[in-house]
Amino acid sequence: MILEKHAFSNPNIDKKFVNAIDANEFVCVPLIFKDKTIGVICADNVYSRKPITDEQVELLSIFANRAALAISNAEVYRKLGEKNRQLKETREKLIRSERLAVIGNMAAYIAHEIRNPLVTIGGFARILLREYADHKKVKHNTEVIIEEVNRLEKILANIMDFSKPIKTVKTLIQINELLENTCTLMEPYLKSIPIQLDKKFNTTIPKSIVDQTQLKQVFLNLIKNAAESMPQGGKLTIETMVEDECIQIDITDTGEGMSPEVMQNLFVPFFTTKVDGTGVGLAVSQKIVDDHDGFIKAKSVLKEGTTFSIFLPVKKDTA
Amino acid sequence: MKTILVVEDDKNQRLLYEKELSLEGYNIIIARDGLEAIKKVKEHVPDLIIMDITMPKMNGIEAMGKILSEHKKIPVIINTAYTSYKDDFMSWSANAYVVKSSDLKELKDKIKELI
Repeated sequence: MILEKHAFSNPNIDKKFVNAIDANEFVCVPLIFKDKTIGVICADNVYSRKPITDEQVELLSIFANRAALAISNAEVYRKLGEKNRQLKETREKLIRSERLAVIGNMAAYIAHEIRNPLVTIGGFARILLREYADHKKVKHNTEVIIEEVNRLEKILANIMDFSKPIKTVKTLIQINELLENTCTLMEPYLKSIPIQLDKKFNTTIPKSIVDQTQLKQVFLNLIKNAAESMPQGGKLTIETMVEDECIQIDITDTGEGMSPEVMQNLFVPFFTTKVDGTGVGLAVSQKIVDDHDGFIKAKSVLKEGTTFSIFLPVKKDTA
Repeated sequence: MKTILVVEDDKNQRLLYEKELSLEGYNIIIARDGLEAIKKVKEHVPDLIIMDITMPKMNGIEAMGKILSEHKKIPVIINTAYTSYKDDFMSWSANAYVVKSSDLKELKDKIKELI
């Protein structure tokens, strides 16, 4: 504690400080919590111009003790809140990951069991088609069977892909380049709809350690979804930026948008609104982004469009 | 005539493979599981083996290991409904991995490539 009665004439007191408080008398009381000074309270007599009494100093000391405790508690509370948030996030990721693993195993088992008889059905249908090629009715009916078997086989292939354990190979890359590659792949398809592609890449974003194949899969899924929401054409904007120590990638379409009900189930495996969809694209995308310690968000307005935002943490050692 | 051993536990699939591959001019012999496959290889020494993975008594990977320890030169095509092992087949010393499909073209092409 410092009690100064002659601040103007005391050469040991910093002149700037004295000028700032413009008072001859002041008292400084430390805010101490667990033997650590976390701040200081300064009080002066600039308004009263009356001498600071011992009683006032004592009162201020008592107040400082309580204030130090309150400030520390508030800080502990804030940290606790932050830890709670992190815990909740980790728990959610874990639940998602476990749920995906269970669904994946189940899906793989079911897909395996269905695929075997399907091979036989389709295989024999092909034999029928070959042996009765001259019989118009048999030919037509068999072709329908083969077409349906092919469709089921495609769905099963997607489900098998979903349940396949993902092997991760992470390398240091520039996200913009990966996006550019993905756009090059998709451009002919986008033009055919026709969809105008607007790339707004921030060239200052740092390189990241990511699995290129997996992230490319995420970008492809999101761009394809965006394109499919604009069957009559529209505009697709892909933007990269750095936000709060994260690389943010926004993929925005001017398509049909999604209802709140659809938004709620977006990342649920096998949930789909497409006639021929399997509902694994977004679930897999979320899992991939999770595995990169990032997160993915969507906002959508019906009849206006949708933005998917991917956030990938900037690794300090690679920045 | 080249002989192919089809190791498959599904009765109707065996029938399909037998019918389709015979038409291609191969002599087809059949085994219903891994144990039977080992026995059949001893009896016939085929020119190629088409091996399913999930089977009763002994699975395809174990059977293949035992067969190849004695007959290193017999080419093996892993033929399964699972896509998930596709990256592993070379480490098992198999020559190819063909995911089961009702269209046998890929399987037939692989056979032609190997024998």
